[in-house]
Amino acid sequence: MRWFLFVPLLVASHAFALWWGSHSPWPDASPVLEVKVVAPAQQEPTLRAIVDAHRATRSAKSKEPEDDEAREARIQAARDRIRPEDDVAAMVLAGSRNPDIEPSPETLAAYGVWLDRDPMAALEWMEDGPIQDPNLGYYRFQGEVGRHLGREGMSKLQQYLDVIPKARRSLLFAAADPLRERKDAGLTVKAVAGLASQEDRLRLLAITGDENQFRNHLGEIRGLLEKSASISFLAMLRLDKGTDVSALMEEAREAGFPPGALAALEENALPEEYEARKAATKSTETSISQSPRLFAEGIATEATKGFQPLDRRAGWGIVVPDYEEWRIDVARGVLDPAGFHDKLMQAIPGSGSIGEPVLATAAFASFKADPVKTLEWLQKTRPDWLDMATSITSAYAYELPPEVFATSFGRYQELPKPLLDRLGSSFLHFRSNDPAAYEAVFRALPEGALKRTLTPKETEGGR
Amino acid sequence: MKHPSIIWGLLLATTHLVFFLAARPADEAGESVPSATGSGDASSATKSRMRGEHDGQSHYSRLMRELDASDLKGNDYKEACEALLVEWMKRDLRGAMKHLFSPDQSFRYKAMFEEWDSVVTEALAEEMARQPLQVWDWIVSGSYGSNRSKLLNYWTWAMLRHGQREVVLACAPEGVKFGSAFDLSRICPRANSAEMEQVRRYLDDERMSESDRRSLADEYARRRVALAGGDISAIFDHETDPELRKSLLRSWVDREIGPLETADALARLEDLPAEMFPEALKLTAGAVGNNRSFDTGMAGVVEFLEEMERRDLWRHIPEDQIESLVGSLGPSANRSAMDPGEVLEHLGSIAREDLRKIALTQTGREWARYSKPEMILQHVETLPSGSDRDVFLSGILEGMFDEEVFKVLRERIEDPEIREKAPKKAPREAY
Repeated sequence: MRWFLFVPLLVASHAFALWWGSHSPWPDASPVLEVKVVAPAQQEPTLRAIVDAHRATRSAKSKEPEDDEAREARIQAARDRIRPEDDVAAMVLAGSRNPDIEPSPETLAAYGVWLDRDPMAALEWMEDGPIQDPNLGYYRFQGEVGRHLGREGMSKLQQYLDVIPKARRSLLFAAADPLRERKDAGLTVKAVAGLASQEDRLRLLAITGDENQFRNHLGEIRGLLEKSASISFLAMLRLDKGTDVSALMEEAREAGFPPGALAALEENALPEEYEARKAATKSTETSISQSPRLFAEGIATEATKGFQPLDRRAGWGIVVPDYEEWRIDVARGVLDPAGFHDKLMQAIPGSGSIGEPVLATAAFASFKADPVKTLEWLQKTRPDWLDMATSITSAYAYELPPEVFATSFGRYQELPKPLLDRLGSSFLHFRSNDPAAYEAVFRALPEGALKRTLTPKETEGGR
Repeated sequence: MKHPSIIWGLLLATTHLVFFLAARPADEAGESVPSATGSGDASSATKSRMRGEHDGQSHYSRLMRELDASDLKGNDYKEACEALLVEWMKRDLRGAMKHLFSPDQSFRYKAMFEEWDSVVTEALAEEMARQPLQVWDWIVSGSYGSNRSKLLNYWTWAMLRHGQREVVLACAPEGVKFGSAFDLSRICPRANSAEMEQVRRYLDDERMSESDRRSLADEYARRRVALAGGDISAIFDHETDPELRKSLLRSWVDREIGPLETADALARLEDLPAEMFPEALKLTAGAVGNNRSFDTGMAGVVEFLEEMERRDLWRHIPEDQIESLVGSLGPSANRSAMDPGEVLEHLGSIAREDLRKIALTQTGREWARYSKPEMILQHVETLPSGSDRDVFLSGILEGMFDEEVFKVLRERIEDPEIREKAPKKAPREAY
């Protein structure tokens, strides 16, 4: 029976082992002083664990977003579940209690049924109820209104407009949805014909279709529009890029559109400046990909416009494919601005001839990533660094926090006036936005040119 | 079993060692650490949040440095960065905010917070909504400098998104001292009557700047009118502030009058309190004009002017304001697309001479401003001569920037009196 005495002893010794264990750091861990920091970190995950977990939840979530069809099906299923005795209006109200959250398929389905049972009440609620957000310019329940009109027929549209004129915008947009879907110009023309005012006819035509849809229907459309509306119609008809304008013109002429309308169509069909520029960009890109030196040569022949970065136009991606990566490296602190500049110079063939714009490109980009280091670098390399700083500040005066500029320029006793002007307006904006925060930053500024500029001039000029 | 004591001894040593090791703190750099990220574990997340206020920041900013120094590139880096920020905010929102929104490094993370529905902003909103008042205190008392306005912005958005509207209203009296950084107007678009009452009280706060008050008043008025369903007495009866009455009138006309046909629109104005009538007329002209933005033939302009005459409404409009009223009636879209012959025919039918002249001059000027000079030359040839055409031409001159075409057109004015009054030099292009 003597062995029995060992039990408390064993318990005690194991307890000691527990205590000792919990109070002893790993041999390769940080010095004793930091034990406090490490100890609670038991539950704090490693970078790897965080990234893995994030990836896992994201890939699980990415299966979620359903396509339109699946959503439609859910709305339809919810609709099928609604019984005749259900109070759909109450269901809609309950489902949109938090106006900042998207309504569920059930709520939308209930709204659809409400529309079918009592369209005027449902439409009135859509205009004035808590769901409307005029700032967004669209209405969440619009899809249901469209479906309702699709079921009931577009002839209802004018009836609704007569009773609730303020719903004009949402009704016309809602009507356009099913019409666009069916891609049947005959149906659209019929719906347009049901509208009383020229303005509404034009609107519905404009939001519903483009030339492809209205081809071979211009005659019918002309019949629905007065002279001035017919001009507007052709002036704003959406045209395809490769459209055969002469054929369209011919059809419009035969359809009896007046000369003013034909002139408007001609104007409408002129290739846009944007398209022309895009085409030019494309051809430049092709030649640069064959001969990368053309990039620098093209820029070198242009007149210089002060210390400005290259706009990253045609060919930039070909000559400097890693630009974005390097820019991020500067922000990460693994590449310094000078190194960034070196990389750009090396990457661009013939960069020597465009040294100034490449320097500006590096300086602008790295200023946004690390302003302090960038200014230090410029100051070391260039005697005229303050002019450069002025250009950079002009570009970013509202993009970076004013504190950045306070840190960069606050300690100087003299600064160029254009720079001070820029800084002044940036800080003025800050002051009007959050006076208290501004006051704190202003007070913390060291005595110098910037602080003098920002100090109200009460004693001078007798203000 | 020759040496049971050795076996017992080994066994004892092993159990002691196991106990010792089990009790040891986990090595934070070790691979064996369970990946308890706690995304689904609320209680551990809360604990860490509480703890994070003391030491979390150093842990996560260390991880950020580790990430920056790592080999990850491109999308891998971006994704890791996103993961880290989200986790940081979940575990230690205050520390994360302090780091991510401190003015001397916030610009590094700017891109990640730029989209309202990015993973990072969603996570920020979610965490803010979990502890609204606590976060509010952090924001208003923390040293975020110019970034405080950004945080206030995110906070307001987060509260609305997560249905905590009453918190936004409760914080409003304190928020007013942050100027436009705190924007209460965002609550208006979907507010109910009780919430609107609170916004109304807030509008009386004298600490608010004039411009902040104006923009809030506009949003307030818009919602007020929507809630009243257009009922005039519900809108104006209880409002005595003249500026707010003006805002309300603007919204009411915009919403209730603009979509109506001209005759109905002018008829409905008659329900208004008398002193608002002149202002309402001007606004109505603008709203109706806006609604007829494609009316290239100007039939709508004529209709409006005549309806004014028929109802004897011109007496409400001071002479020096007639011009701007007529101007606001013109079409606003596709100003170059019109048939001048049709326009001349319509506008020429305006009975009152002064109105006719104003309408013709203005239409000519707008047309010229937005059209190609050659096209104008071409069209002008087809117009029937007469004083209406001459007045129309003098209007075109006011908007004709091309000097050559200007000279030619000026010569086409037949009536010497009208030509004398017409501009003598082409205007300078102002934009």
